[in-house]
Amino acid sequence: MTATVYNMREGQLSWVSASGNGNSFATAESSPSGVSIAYVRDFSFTSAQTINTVMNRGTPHHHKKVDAQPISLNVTYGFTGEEGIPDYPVHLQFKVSDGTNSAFYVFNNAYRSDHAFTEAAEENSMADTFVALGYIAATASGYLG
Amino acid sequence: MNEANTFNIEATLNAWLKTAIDGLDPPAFFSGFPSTRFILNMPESPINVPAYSGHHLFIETEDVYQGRRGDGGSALIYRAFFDVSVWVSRRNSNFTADKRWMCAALKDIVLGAKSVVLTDYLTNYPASSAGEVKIYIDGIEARQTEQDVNPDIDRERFLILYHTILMGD
Repeated sequence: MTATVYNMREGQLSWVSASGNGNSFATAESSPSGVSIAYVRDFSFTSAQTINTVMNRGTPHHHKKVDAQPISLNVTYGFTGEEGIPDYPVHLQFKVSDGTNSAFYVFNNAYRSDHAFTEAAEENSMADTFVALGYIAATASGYLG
Repeated sequence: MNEANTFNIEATLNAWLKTAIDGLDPPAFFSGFPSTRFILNMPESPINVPAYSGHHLFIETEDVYQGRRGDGGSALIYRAFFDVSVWVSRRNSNFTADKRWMCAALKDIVLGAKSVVLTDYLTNYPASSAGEVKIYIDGIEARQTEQDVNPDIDRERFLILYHTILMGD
């Protein structure tokens, strides 16, 4: 199989109020409340962890994972005056699909840490930052369609 | 087809400008409009001066949204010019004043319209309903024109720049 590179026009970011505890989607699998965020201009996420190199007599010997940061998501979208889902935490799903193949990234239990509004001549925008506990990726099927 | 299609976009702007031009109150020196002030289908529709005319010139779409996704459907930013001309007759000794007033009136119409709400002409025509999409009137600029083949005719040409969201279901 030959893999091709996805781009922005194949992406879709959705979110839904977290209905379960911990990392589980208790009801979201059939949830109709998943909202695809419209007019998204930018989306990015970062997963980071701290790796310490353990030395043996001055020579790198092995690595030790000592810390994992929460997943940080940034999304900027055109402001329509509609806020979407007000209840946090939320689960977010990033889907990329070319119509035949799809890949899903599911981010669990995210809170919105920043909510930044910008007025501009041609388009007002909202920039949200979410902090999620973790993510499942990349899978061939998602929860929110 | 979604209501925010180019047929409705252009028809909405035609109706907007026709209403605005028909509502103009010319000054005392003005020589007077014929029965049709705004002509859409030149040259098929003859022009009796003084009058305005309009054509639509499509420029481009911009694919800037993730998944081309708008509210409830696919979305592209749509940019176009509404090409509007002012036509007067040189036989009228007052034609330069007439022309300058008509140009000023056109700019005043554009100045007063930040946006025009789209009307859906494809559903239940002619009792058409206002849609939810706005057409943003971005501004107006002048374009040089060649001397008309008819030496009696003098013309000023303007481009009204507008943008909106082209939507698909």
